[in-house]
Amino acid sequence: MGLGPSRRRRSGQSLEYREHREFVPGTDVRNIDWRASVRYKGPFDHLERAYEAEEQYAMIVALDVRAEMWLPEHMPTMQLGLWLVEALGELAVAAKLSANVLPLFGNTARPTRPLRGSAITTLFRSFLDDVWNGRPQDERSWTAPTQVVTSDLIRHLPPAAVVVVITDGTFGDDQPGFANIIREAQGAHRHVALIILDGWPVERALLEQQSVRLLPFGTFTGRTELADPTVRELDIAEKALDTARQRLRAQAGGLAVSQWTMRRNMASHSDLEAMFREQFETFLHSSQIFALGGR
Amino acid sequence: MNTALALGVIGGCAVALLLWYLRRPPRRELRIAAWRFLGELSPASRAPVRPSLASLIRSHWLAVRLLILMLAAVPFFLTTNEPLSEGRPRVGLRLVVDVSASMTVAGSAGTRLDEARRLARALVEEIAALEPKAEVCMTLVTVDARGHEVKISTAAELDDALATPRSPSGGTGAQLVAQAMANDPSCPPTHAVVISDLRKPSIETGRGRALLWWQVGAPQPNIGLTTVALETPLFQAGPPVISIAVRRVGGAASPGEVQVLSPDGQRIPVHAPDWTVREESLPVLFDASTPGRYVVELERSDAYAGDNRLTIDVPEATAPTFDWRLAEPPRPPALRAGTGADSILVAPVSMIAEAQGRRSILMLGPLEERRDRRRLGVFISGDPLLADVNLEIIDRAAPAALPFPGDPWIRVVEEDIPRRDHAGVLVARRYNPSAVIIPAPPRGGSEQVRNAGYLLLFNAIRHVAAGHLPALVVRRTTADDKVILGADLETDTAVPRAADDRTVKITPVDAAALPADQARGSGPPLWPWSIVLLLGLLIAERWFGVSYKATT
Repeated sequence: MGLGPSRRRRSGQSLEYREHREFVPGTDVRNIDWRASVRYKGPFDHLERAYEAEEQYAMIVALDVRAEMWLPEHMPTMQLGLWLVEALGELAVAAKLSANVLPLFGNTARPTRPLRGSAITTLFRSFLDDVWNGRPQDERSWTAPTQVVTSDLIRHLPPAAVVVVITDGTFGDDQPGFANIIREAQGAHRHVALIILDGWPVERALLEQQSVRLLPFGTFTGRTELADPTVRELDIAEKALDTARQRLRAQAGGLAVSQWTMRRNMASHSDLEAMFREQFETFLHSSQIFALGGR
Repeated sequence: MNTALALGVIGGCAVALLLWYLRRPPRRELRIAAWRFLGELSPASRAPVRPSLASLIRSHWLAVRLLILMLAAVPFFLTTNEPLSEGRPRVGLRLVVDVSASMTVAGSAGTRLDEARRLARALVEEIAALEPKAEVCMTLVTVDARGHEVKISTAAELDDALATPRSPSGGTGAQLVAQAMANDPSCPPTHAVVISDLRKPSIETGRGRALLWWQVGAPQPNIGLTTVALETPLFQAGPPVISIAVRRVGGAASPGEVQVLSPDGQRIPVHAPDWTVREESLPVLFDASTPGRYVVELERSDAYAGDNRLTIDVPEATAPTFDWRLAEPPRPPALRAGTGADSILVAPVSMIAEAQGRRSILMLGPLEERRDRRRLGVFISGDPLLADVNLEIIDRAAPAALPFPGDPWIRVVEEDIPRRDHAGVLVARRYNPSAVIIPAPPRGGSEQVRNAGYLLLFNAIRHVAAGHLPALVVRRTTADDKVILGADLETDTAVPRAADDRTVKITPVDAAALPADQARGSGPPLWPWSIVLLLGLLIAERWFGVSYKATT
């Protein structure tokens, strides 16, 4: 199904012998094989008995639920995110993985333990319904105060998991904790795939068309003056956005990043759908995080 | 497509595009996810409500490109009527055909119009086959009372145009020349060919294009009824006699039979002249015994319409009466006697007082006969009273004195006499009412002189009575008595009187070989400029669309 081996092997507590290796002080002395150490005429002083620990890893999907994800209004990046969550959920069921979906930058009252089987489908659908129903539908809902806090996602991440983070990457200084979240997620034998949904080309095309007034939404208070951004100003903004995303990757380090960039001339829902099919297929084939199981 | 229509379509498209744009106000309020990265933005310099041209260009690039394409297509429309290319001769032929009545005269090879049609057809076919293929446009103008213009390109269209019935009048040489020299914007003429049975009129040199004049039709005799006169016999009994001059031009042998119908429709006998006499005009006489409308026709002749038929209205004529006071000679029996105020007084000059206000003939004398010279008297040599008088018996020497009383209304006719033998004294004459004083016929002397005296008296009676004759109303008509105006103009088609008049070419010539005196305003074709314009507009639009924001 494209997710690669669903099991990954690592050293650990198990009854299945794997090998003898040099004893490193600080590890459990109960693993020292005294008899083998006596017979061993090699360079090491003691050998310890190593066992294979076999376990099935979980897939955790984290979806950015900030208001920015619902932009551009006529072609929101959230749509791509929702499709992506739904597709990953289906794949998890098919691959018999345990999986969970959590909101990024939000408190979760959802089950934090990875589920299996049909429970995944129920969980993902419930999550998608909650996100869809929470979309801004009028001016009031756009400007309603929202509380975006650093997610307690880390606490709920199981070890030996693949974490797929879906966001548009338009973070500023107001979200300094995102790098920490990613760094924490990478610990404990976890692997993180970051998918950036880039809607900037469409927004730039909108900004180029005519004089604009920026409306408030979420934590943005808006700009009352009518602006006519020049090409130079838009180039500067684009460069700043790229710099922020590159810094994000650098801080995370070793992150598997996939950026899905919309085309500026996309105008219809079918264009968006075609883009999703193309990008998702590429993502499945090129992503390295699902090829780590053999290590 | 003509230029006005093309510009109208383009203008309409442009207006429609603009209206469409104005009806869709642009969206001006946005939410941007990347708002954190937008620094200070340039404030809008244009009015927030009305859309600007810049926003039109930037937001409706497809419409702008369509507009550019339409503008670039303008040269194509504008060059529709221009010369196609360099090196192709352009022949604008203006074919003027005379379709007036005289063109229906039939000769051995058909009518003149048939011959004109053959010539025109040969010309059209020849031009259509010009090699290398030339750019040819032809305009047929048929000239009658009103000019008719028809664009033609094939021989069949020519036949259709000439088959249209036309008015039988009109078609003078001046009209033909005017039509040949007229301008035609849709087909600018370089050559003009006139086909007519008229002779080529004199044309000012340097009047524009080359003009070829083809006179069609075999030479036809031009015979016509011209002058009409009424003669009332004074000295003999009988009806008035109408005299019609038949004019023959170009050596016509015979006008055919002259037919005269009386007012009651009966054919009456005529006195025909000897047609073998080589005179241009010969009289035909007939008696108008009753007043009314007489019809005179030339049958089986080649006379033109209007020249071959006359209607003559003869009023009732009353013979003059004479108040004859002379004892010698006595009143001729044919003259009616009368004493009224309308009667003509014939009296000695001594009764001159009664001649005042009346037509009168007064006798002076008798003069003494000069035995040595045997002459009648003293007269002006050219006076009509001396018609048929043997001038040898006229005494051209002025008398010393004339013994008749002077009077204010009678004046002695004395002309300037450059030569004494060419003039003299008629004695006296008054014109209104007419009256004369003449020498009385001598009683004795030679018979020759006496006869001359009597002839002079009769001439005087005839001339004084001439004002008494009624006026005739003469019309040139068609067979159904419709009056033909200007029919005498057809006599201009008379065959040449001299050989040097027949200098008009009749054979068709290749129109392309004719010297075109108009400079061809062709120049290089304009359509490549449309490509240049298209590229220029696209580059300008692209540059404007890309760099607009950077410069604001």
